[in-house]
Amino acid sequence: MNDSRMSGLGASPSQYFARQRIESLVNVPRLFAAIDADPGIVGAGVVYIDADYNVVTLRAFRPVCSVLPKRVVLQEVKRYLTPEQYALKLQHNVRQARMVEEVANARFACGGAIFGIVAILTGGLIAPFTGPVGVTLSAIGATAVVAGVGQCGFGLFRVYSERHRPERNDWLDEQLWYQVLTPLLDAISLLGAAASLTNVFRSLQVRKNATRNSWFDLGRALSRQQRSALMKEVLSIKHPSLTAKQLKLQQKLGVLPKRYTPTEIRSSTIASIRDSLGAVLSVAGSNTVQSIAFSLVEETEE
Amino acid sequence: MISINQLPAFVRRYYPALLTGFFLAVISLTCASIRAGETIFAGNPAEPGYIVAFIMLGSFTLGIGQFVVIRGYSAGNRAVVGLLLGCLIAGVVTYPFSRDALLAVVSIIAPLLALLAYNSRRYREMSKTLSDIRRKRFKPVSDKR
Repeated sequence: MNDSRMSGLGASPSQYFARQRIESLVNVPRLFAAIDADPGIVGAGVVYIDADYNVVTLRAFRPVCSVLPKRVVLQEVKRYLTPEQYALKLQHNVRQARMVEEVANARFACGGAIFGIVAILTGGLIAPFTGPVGVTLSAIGATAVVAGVGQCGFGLFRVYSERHRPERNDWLDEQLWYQVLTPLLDAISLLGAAASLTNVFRSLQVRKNATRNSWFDLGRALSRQQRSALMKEVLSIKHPSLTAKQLKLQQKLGVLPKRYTPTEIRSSTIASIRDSLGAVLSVAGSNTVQSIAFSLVEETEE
Repeated sequence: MISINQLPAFVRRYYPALLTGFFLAVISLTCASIRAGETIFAGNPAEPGYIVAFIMLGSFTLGIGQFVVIRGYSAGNRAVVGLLLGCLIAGVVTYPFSRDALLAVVSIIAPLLALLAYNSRRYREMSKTLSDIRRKRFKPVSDKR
């Protein structure tokens, strides 16, 4: 037997033998004629799947009365299943898989909402953005919290519906407004994640500029002079209206702090890590970008 | 900004009450929306749409209210507590019409527990602390408010 389907790249002997068996068992011309006699499915492609899940395309789709491809799929059922049992099994398997998917999505959405609010509350020890930029980032953060709560609520509702009334989820998935709303909430959550990452990056950049360290050295403990320099940098950002001499005077008077303690630096690193985890969950739980997960998480001493 | 020295202690002391109350509020909101939607719009083909609308409305209230509290405005607590009371009333009113016993019970217990968390001494302390921080932030260094 010198058939390209039996050897070479992409060869599948089981497929070859399955096709031989099917073409011997099924009256293929009569099958095609029966399908073409129905104006609703005339020209439809025909696919046969045997009990061992070998997929054989008996005929490709021809756009006779419809440009939308149609395929008639014939699947062999295992001997120990009646047709009714098979129909129930298909329904059950599909819904089981969807249940797992809904639970996973709900977990990501709810985790993202909680981390979102934690990230905003913790907010980093250093607030590098002031003025209109700071207000914009706050507004984005607030909207991201609302979107996270909404996504969590939707996720829990879908899990409940999938368990008791799956047709509700099917109905929702068909609605245009829902198809627009879900990616919109995803986008807002991603925007919140981006705002958190921006804060994290800006915080690290301020530390880097103040301490003259490389990116790798940022995790190390700072010396007294470095902590003092970091505090000066942060205060100049927080109080842009004050000159360097005014800042020094306020520090001498005790109104403004002189330097960070080592504990404070550690908390700042931890806060940045929390921001990053919130961003990871927001992205991972999104319906449109499920396979992307990125993070700025660093190991800490804890 | 919160005093840097106090942040770790602040986190250890107040986060559990905040996150417990917040997550219970989300569960309450979802359960109440489902119960209200299933009772008021029973038999309506657009019932899931109305439930989604209730969830969005509640999310907006909870999200904005909680965010405002975090920023130091205690008035946001009124929005959150009002939402939880609404969820509790919805759970009680729709209890006789429920088909799912677990959902009916959760829709009453969750708002009660959430109200307990938000009424706790820890949460009230946190709310007051954040409010004080907001006032101190504008304390004259440059005489700006």
